[in-house]
Amino acid sequence: MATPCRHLEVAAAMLQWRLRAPLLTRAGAAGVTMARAGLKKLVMPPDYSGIVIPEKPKLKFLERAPAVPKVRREPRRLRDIRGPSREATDFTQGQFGILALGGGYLRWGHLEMLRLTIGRAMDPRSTFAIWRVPAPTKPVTRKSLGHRMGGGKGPIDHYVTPVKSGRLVVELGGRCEFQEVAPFLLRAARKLPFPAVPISRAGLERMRREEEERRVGNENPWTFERMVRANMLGMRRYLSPCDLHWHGRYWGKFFLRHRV
Amino acid sequence: SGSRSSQFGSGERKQRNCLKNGTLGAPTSLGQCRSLMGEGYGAAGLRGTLMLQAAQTSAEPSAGLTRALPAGCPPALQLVRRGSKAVTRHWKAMHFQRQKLMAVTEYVAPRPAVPPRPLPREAFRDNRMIAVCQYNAMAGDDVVLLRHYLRRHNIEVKFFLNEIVRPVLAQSKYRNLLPLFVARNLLLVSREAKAKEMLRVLKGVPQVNLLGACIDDTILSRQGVENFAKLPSLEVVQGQAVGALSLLPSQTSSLLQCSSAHLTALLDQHIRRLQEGEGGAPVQPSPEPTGAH
Repeated sequence: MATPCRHLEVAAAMLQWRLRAPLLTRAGAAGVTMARAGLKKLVMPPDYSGIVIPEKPKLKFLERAPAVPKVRREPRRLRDIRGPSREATDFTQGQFGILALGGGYLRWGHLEMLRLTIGRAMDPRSTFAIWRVPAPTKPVTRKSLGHRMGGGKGPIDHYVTPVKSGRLVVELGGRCEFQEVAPFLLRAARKLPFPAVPISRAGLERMRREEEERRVGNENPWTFERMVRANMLGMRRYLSPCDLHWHGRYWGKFFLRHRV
Repeated sequence: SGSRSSQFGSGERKQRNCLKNGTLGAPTSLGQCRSLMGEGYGAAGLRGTLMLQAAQTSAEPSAGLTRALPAGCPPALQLVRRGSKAVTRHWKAMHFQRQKLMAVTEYVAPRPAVPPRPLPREAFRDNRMIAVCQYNAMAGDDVVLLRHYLRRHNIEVKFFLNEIVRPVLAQSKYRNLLPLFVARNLLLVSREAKAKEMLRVLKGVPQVNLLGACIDDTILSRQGVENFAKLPSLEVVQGQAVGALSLLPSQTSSLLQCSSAHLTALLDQHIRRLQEGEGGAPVQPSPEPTGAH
């Protein structure tokens, strides 16, 4: 009598994880019915209803040099990688992306690396990727090897895309989770010429919120902004006009993340 | 930059001339100062110097007061700077004054308004067992180990200063514990009365001596705690009490029923013997076969 009963209980215990309704089991010879109920925490799956995968989900090939009829050598314009970015700082279509945490110049090789790495690792049926940086347009000149100094500006060597801090480089979206795309985004971000991290839409919001909280909750009464606005100790003499806007958070192409 | 410098060219030239003439040493009057700087910048710069003086005269950095003051204005007009370009290729060492400024204006994390350390009042209110121990010099690792071993039994180690504990205790019902708080003490508190486990842990730590304890609102000496630890658990004691109480009535009832039960047993035996005397076989079928085949 006892042996079949035990079998029943074992079977009930095995079934417990797949039956959501309370399970009725006969316990013992007295025929007492006992209701069993387990506690389940079911996570709602994310809502993918509004997502449309474009015709070509992978990253587009970017030209190595702009197709302009006349090649012009430009001044270096060092400020184009200095300070915070004003464009491509927010997500448009995607959910995940690579965020630049410093300024720098992207060469065509970097863009190819991004395109091939992401194209190889992502699932084109459920994910799509778009560029947030344009193709290289800024010419960089180099003098040829063994050339004597002087004699004017050298010929154009290659083209680059200037990227400022806080700009998204690529954007990914579709029916996928951040945990799926983060590993290969991190692999690609480490090879970029500036500090960069993979980030999700929620992560970007959280990062901005934390920055704001740090700025508001700073216990130090002597903030950079206050000292510079009031020109305390004649500090303006050692600062640039950009520091009035950026409050010492940027130094050259570098983004000083720990500062408020 | 030719088109941009043309807007400010006159002011800059004036400044350069002043620099050449050597009048920059000490601007004495407002007009001279205005002539040194641009029109808009002069006002802002003056305000800045005034603010600087105010900041220097109020030497103590009281945060609330200084935050209420206006912190100056950005200049309405910026002169175009000449000279070196902004370095963006590599990390450039900051000017030493700027390094100082960056060090002064570091982020300071907000401190919690209430200190995270628990108060002695709560420790006495929430716990059933409070043991006061003498605390002698110990290595830090040993303290960590002691805490670890005690935490396994849900016993917390609390360090309170005597100056803090004494006024709290003097107003509470624990004022009889006051003589124990004379030197370096430590409190072992627990929500359960786990005296046995506590004594077992303290046996291995000679630096911590148990002075006394208050378990379930009863003050016990060291000997009392040891006696308390030897007691069996509450359920066992209750079972023993119930058993002792039920022993006497059961004995009484068994004595009362003794004679009648004895009589019944005798009668039963008598009936059985009578049935066996009658012929036994039809009444009690014997297992071995009687009939012959």
